[in-house]
Amino acid sequence: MNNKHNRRCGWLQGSFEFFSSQLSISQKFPPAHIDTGGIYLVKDANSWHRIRVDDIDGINDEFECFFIDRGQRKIMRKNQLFFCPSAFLTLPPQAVCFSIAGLEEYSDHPYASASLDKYFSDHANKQIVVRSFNAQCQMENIPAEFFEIVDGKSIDCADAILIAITESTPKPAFKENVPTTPRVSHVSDNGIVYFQLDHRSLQYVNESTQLLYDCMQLLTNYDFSSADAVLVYDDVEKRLFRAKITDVLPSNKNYFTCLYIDYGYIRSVPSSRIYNLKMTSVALYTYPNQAVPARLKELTEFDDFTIDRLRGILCGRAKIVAKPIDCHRSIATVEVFKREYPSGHMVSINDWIRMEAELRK
Amino acid sequence: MQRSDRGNGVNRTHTTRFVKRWTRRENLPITTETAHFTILSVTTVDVSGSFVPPLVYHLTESVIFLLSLSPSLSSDWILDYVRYSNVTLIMDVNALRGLIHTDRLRSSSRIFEYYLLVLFDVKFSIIICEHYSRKTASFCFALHFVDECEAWQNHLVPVSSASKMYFPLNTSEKSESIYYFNEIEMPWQLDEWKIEVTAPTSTTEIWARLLENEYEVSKWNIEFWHIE
Repeated sequence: MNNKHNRRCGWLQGSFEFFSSQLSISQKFPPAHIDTGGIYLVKDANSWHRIRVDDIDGINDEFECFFIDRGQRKIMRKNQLFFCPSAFLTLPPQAVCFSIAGLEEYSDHPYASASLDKYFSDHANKQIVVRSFNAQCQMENIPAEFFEIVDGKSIDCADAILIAITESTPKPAFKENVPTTPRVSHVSDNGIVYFQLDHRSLQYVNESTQLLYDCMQLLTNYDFSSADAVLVYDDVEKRLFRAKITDVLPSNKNYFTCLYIDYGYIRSVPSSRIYNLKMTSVALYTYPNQAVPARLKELTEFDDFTIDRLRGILCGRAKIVAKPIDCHRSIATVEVFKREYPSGHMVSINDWIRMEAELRK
Repeated sequence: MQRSDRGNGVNRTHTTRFVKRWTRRENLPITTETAHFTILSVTTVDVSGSFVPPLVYHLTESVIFLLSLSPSLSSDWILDYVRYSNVTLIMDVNALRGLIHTDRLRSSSRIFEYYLLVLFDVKFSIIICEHYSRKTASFCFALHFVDECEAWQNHLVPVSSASKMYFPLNTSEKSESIYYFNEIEMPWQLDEWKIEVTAPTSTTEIWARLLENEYEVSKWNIEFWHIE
């Protein structure tokens, strides 16, 4: 250990003068050719950093750069990259990658990155220590417990990070008089329209349930002890959905009426196809419902024809604009618009449906 | 070394064909007891992933080959390569596993995924193929790398004069930017490591710098980069 220390110190002593002279050279001589995987210098935020070029966008002349001493990734332009003198290649990359033990399933959480960024910048002045589980861990990301040292005591960071992630995850909801461009997933038989407002969250939920589907044999059947959110396998769509059990089917006690909380569908599911979500994935269990129910303004009576018309107009890939009118009730009231072609005018779907109903009378 | 302007420049179609070619071969067991080995045939893949006819050299001494690998190839495939090509490494199997783990550890850097140095003892001779001159640059690079990398020198036998004759160093052709770093030495002997979180990307990717003891020296080194 001492030898290594001395060797490094020796390198250190001679490096500073060399550094200055070499850096001025590198500034004058940008690299003639930039390779993927190559090590270069960049000046970022008034500091020089060693970077590795991970990808080259030849069309835009941009380079995806990995800061080997810090772990950041940034897109840089060719004129920002400089030749790295060999003397500065002796020091191994200083960035070490860790994984927070216990929070692995939040790795793809769409709001985790911002929460982590905020947490660690808020605690930049605090001493952070990690405890690795395995000595000589061979994994790329070293699993470790993170602790913050406060008054000589170690406080586990994982709980605080988990709370930060959960609190920063927005529950999708309409904001009064703020138009949005949602997707309509379903129109129920009683005229409730289910909107999906957060496309990124929906994608995360869908990808996560798809991952669970791939290992479905490992899922635990739900014991029906509480009114928790569950996972259900839909035989029609051949995939898993998050759902809430709303009722038992009177005709068959083995079937349950389930509300798919991310889509608004209400379907009957056999008990054998209902799985425990809480035991499977806490991240998914605590993730907010993605289907937001709303009523359409001035539409109160719904016959089968009206429901079919609404489903035909709103569901699928229709591009619509929803303007929330009243968000104070448990179910918001909205007015929905759609652009008609070739005129290009915005048409109120509420007026459209209401007029059609009046004409039918 | 030719690379495309975008991505890592690996032609996966050719690589896949290459893998299939090897996996069709008879399953030959790895000889763990022998300290040295014999190559019956050697196949190389160049950096662009295209298939190159076997290169076998008129050598009876130890020689170093640069086996250029696609990032898409797993370490299991490397073992398969060794198995199917009837090659026994000078390093024992555990050392090879360690080498692969090292490679895995560095997979985030993706540099070691492009190249894997394997030490062979060649006791078989066939004709040098027409690609010899084009491959020279790669082999030269390998030798250059071995000269500079202290960690590898511990594992490798000295390069013989004969092999140098076949693979002369040619600095004008070698890449100026691709470099193989030693790994940072982790303080496994310590229970706790003081760190500075530098880039929290996700819960499974928290980039940080070690601040403890000897590692503080490394930090100082880095601080030099902040001085203009």
